[in-house]
Amino acid sequence: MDWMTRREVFLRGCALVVAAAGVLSAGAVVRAAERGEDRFIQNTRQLTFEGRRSGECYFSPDGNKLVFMSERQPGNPFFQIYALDFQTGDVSRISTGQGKTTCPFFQMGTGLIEFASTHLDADFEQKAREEYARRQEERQRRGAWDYDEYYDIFVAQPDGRIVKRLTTALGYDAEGAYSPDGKQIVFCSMRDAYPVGKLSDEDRAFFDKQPEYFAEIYIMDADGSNQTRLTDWPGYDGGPFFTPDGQRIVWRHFDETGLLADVYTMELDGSGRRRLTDFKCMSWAPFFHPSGEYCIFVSNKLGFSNFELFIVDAMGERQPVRVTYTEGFDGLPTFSPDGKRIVWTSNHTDTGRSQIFLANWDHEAARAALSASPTRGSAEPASSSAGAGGASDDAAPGN
Amino acid sequence: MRSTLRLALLVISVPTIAYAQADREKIPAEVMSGVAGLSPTIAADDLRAVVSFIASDQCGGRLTGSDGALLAAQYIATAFSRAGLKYPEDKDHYYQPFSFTAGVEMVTEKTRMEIVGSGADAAVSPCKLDADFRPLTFSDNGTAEGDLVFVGYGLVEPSSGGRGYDSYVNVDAKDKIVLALRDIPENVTPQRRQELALYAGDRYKAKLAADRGAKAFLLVTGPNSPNAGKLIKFRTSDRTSAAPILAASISGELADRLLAGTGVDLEKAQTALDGGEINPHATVQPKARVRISTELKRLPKICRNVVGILPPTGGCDEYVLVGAHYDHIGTGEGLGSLAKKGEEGQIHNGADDNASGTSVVLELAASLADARRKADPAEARRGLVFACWSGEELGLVGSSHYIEHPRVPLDKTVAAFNFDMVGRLRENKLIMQAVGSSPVWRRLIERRNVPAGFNLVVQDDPYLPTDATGFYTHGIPILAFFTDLHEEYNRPADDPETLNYEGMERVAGFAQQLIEDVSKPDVEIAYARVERSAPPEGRMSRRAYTGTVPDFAASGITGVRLSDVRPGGPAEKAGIKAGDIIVEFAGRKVTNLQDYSDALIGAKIDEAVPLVVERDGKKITLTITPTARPN
Repeated sequence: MDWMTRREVFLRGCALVVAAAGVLSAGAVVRAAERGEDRFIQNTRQLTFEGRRSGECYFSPDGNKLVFMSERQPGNPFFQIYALDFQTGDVSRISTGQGKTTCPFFQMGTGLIEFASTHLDADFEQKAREEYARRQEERQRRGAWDYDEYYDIFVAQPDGRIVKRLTTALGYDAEGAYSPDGKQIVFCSMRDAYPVGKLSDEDRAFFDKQPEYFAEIYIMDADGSNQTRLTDWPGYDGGPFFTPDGQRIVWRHFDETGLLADVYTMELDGSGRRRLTDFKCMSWAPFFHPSGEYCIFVSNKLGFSNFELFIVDAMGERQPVRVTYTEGFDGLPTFSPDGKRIVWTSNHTDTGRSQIFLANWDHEAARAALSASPTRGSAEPASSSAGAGGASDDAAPGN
Repeated sequence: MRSTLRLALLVISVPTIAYAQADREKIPAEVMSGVAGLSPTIAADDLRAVVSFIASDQCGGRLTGSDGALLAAQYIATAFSRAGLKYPEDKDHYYQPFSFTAGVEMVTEKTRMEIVGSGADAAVSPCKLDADFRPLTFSDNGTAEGDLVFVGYGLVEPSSGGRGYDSYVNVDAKDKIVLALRDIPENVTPQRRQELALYAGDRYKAKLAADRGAKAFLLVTGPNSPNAGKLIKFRTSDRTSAAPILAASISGELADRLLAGTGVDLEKAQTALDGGEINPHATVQPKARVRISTELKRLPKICRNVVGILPPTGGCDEYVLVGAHYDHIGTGEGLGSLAKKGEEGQIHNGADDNASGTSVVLELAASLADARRKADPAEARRGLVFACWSGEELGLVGSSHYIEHPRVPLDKTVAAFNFDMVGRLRENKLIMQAVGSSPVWRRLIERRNVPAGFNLVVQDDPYLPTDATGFYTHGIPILAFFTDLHEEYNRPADDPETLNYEGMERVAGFAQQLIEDVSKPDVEIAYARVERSAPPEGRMSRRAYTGTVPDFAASGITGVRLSDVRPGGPAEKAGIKAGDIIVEFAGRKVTNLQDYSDALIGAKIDEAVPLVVERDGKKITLTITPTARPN
């Protein structure tokens, strides 16, 4: 599992997850409905099949389309951005076909799609050749690969014509998401590490080992103006989205070791930070249900390479509730605008590589389960099916 | 459009016109009226009507060559006619007759074997049929005489990665009578046994000898093996065709006699081979000469495929084939019936297997023909061949015959769809098989399934136990639809009322869209090569017996769930119970039936091995001692 980017941190447990995928790759994969997975999600099915792998997807504001990443462009080993029409099944490419891309998102009202891309990088073809060679030799990708400094955020029409470049700073600019009114974009940038030459020796050592340490949350207007930094917290801050009411930002913060991650929300000016998770593992990829009542996220609480979906209430007052029960990778969940469907990325496929899954979401069951969940800090619930929350108080640095 | 059906160059099978005409004249009225009630669109009611006829007791389980199969073929041909399908103008009908072996008899008075002394010592020592020797059912007919050569296990395993096994190294088998040990070395590792077992079938070994110029092939079950020294049973129900060599099994005693005076002791030789040595005695020629005559009478019978054609339009000359087998296993004798106690000998109606696939093909034929009639004839579209096969249950006989005698050129057949057991859609789960046969499938399946909404399980492997695989091995991409096994599979209880007709309607609708996609000549359907591990015909038959009955309906579990445990069998003695899930056998993980089957091939007879089952969520380790199946 060598996922890159956003709500999807580079997974430090590559080898472990790949090994798990190997076991799953034989024949039909059956999801664990009988173990409780049908509590909130029903009629689960694999949505995409083409390409080496696909993942990370977002509904259009009308719910009729899905924008997603997939490795299916001939001659390019990297993800490109595609939009799928739920009525016809037609899939069209949004990105240029060149370079690496990541993190698409629809703008409310316009049908435009933002995404990050390196297609302007002059060395792109060389990087593609190196990637093919790496696959031939089946080498593990180095962590630093993911944060290509040529990533910038672009806006394209549904037909794939790029209408605007929003960021120009050297350093990874990606992980963008529009506000519900379409007027702002929140994103992640590593621009503060550049020029690398001006870093202190200590920071330079960090950069060489773990460049995402310098990733911070930024906000800008939809036309790319007023780019403003919101976080100043050691460790990788990324995967930001607006809450459905547009009043707050939810994101994921890694600690300085890069091993522990938790979900937080904050005001649009970076103040009023609130912690939602405390599992003492990697909890990431948060996305709010359109009701605004709760947030879904991914955690490897149950095993280093076993990523499962959980939900937690908007205030983080109660213990999170487990959603998926299938060993392996389940991640990058998002909801349809009506809150009745969920899409996510899973490697429970015949190839053992990720594709997109779709299911019906039972909002009422999710609400009921969360309101029945013990408050955070209380004892572990007796029923293991309710998931389990962290026990400690919120004592994050900087709070 | 007729020109596209000019097939003068094709080799024609030998249907008798009188036979075909006679068939048509006696089509029962209820067939005519039943077909007349079908609509030209895909509908659950139509599917139900077709299955109700084809899987009725009237069709008697549709054993290949039976009157019931003929009745089903008449129904299918009537439906094709009503849909307006064509057949080649040099053909007489939709029927494509083929002959097959319905059984085999030994002509004992013409079956003989003698040891012929060589040189001056020219005494002839006759061997006794059914005591010293017995022909194998796949033996060719004729007489052969030659010097004996002992080839150990007579195995040839293609070498890969430095591995490989070749009993014929330094052996000149040309014009010889080859003597081989049955099965595989007894003392190699379970893993190695599984690998070798893929190339150790009796017929496969005989063919290896034939390929090397041998005149006859003798097989002996070695003193170290289960059923040591015994002759192999002659089953008159065997429907196998003749191999290109005379073949017989011989007793251990006769083998000892043949090898006497050569310095080869069969038991010592086998013991050496069992330890892993390859062919230690290859250069030792037994000083024996053997003459053998065999005469087997194969009982020929005739059955028929039913093939209808929608010609291509707009100047296109390519075709897409849409097929399903309509035969089943009659009352189940000798054809893998899984009838439970008390059900034996009843009609196996085969509603899911494969009246379901047949009904889907008939519905597709009617609806696609209707669409063609309404379409602009100038628009380029590939032709469609609708084929209902017989002989599938006997070993893909009908479709194999078609491949030898195609009604449109195979090199113009760009894809083959197959529907085999599509009537049991459960929990929205549809299995798409052979997806690896072309890179185009995943793209088309993804697109059409977004609105169709199946919970799809896709599998790349094109080597399937169904008719489409023969097309794949002839260079044609294939796609197979399947709604999984179930509790009634190959039982008399596989009846029309157990099918999900609304589910079949959805499957047919989904398939119709995919067929329409690939009917467009600009859609390139590239062939993709998928590695196959070993020829299925090479597989040694399993000889370890455990007395476990897998639950074919089990899904959603890892391992093999048992529906039953045979009384007095090794499994019962080991403490295994119905409902247990086998997850490990002799240290090997068992995730599915294939794993279990492989593990059993690797199992040694009468040797206790650990077996892990899951019972009530707990893992329990038991010890099982597999016994030998009878020869």
